[in-house]
Amino acid sequence: MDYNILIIGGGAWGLSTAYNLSKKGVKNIAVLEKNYIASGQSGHTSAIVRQFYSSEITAKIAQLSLNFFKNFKNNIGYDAKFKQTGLIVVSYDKDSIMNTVNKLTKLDIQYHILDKTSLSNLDPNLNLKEDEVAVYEPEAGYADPIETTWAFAKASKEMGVKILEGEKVVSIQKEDKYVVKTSTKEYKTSKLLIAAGIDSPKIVSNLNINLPIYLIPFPVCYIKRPNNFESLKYVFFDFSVSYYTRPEGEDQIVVGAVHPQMSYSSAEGYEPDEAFHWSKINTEVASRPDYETLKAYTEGLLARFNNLKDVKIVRDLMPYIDITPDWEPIIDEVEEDLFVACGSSGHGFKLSPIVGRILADLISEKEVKFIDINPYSIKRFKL
Amino acid sequence: MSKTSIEGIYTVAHNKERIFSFLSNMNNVSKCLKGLQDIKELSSNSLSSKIKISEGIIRGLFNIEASEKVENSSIIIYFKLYGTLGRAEGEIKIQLEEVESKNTKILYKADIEVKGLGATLAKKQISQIAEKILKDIFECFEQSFV
Repeated sequence: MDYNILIIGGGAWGLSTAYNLSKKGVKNIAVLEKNYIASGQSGHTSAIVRQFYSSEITAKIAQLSLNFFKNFKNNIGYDAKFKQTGLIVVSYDKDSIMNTVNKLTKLDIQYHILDKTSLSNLDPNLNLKEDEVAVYEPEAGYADPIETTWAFAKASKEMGVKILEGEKVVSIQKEDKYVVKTSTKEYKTSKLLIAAGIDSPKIVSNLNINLPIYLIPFPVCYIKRPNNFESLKYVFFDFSVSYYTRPEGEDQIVVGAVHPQMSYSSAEGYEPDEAFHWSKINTEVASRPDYETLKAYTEGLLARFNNLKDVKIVRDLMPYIDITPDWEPIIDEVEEDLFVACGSSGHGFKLSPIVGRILADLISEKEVKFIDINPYSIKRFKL
Repeated sequence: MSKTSIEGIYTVAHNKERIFSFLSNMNNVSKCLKGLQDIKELSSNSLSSKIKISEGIIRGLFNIEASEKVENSSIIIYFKLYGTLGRAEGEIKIQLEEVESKNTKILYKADIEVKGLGATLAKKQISQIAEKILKDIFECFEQSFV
């Protein structure tokens, strides 16, 4: 089987790229997914859509993506179930938060610094300490990650993209074309994109390229929304205690870990532990969040909300995320006609509509004119 | 899970008895911990509290439980620090050695076990944070004697 473009990874990034390539009129595209659509990180993401980043490129892509999410059904023909709930951010890192708000204001991203009255108008039961600051992003919200990924898949299929599930890559060789072998078949392609989330570095290593990717398990739990608990119907980032929340349906709330490098703080000087280099992690082995972490979520929530008397955990999970040393993705042509998109560092889903557009331009035209993607280049790392 | 150890020597210009008396009192040690909030004294030599840490990737409010005992003229502080970014627990062994001109050497060794997200994200930084906390304590009590 011979394709013009082969995409490895049936998640939000891979399928958004397939959709955007097809929209540009590119034909003969296939997507290989080792399991089923959105079975990897796209199926485990909190799917929060927000723009609160100190990195200018990430904030800009998040802004363009959010605009896409707001009109998702008109844009693509299927619904991503995006809910615009607003985002409240609380932190005692006042200076860093204010610097980020100033940066975002210059990008025309709306942020409001909340005084006690305006915070109370949004949520009268949210406690803010004297040494903390609260800001509000009115446009933020969350989408349904499965619907979103499937929307890209369905729209791509309608334009002729072949989506092949259960196709796990076992080897890749460069001959006159790229030859990709799966457990059952062999595919040839002129251009190859690897956008397989945490599996990307292993797949890319078939071509003797060692990506600076580290795999980190992130603790998440779902809690029961108590009866008449009106708080947390918005997205909430508590950087003072390092957790986020967002509503899950009518009766649950997702709680997960977050820290400033995933948002407003620079990762300058950060060195990931080599023990978590992708080559040393077996992602097939699942782990669970420990009791102390879940207790810290619980205590953080109870201290933050006056109207919360107890926290019932419904279930927990610990999905891996793929990070780079500077917590920014790698999106680049790493060899001629070999494209890599990974290391999303926890930002992947919310950037997916525009990352697909970026990759479609990069793959089909070899350049991206509408945004400077140099900050995501592989060249920023010593390989 | 990952383990890390730090050790070092800090010299102060006070006699050994005075330093021993200061460091073997949990109440004095807690006053020298920067960012400590909501201190609950569990007994004369143990406490639980919250501590605000703002060092690199480790930022946030953590729960801390600490207790202290004296054993063979060494002071041993047991601690457990935990939050949404994980857990660090271990012990700090402090020995005092009198040197000339009424100076005292404080020899410290901390063995720390880190679990959870902190262990994966910032093992190196945890050693630096522990070192900074200990230095802050020693500097603080040196100043409190002036």
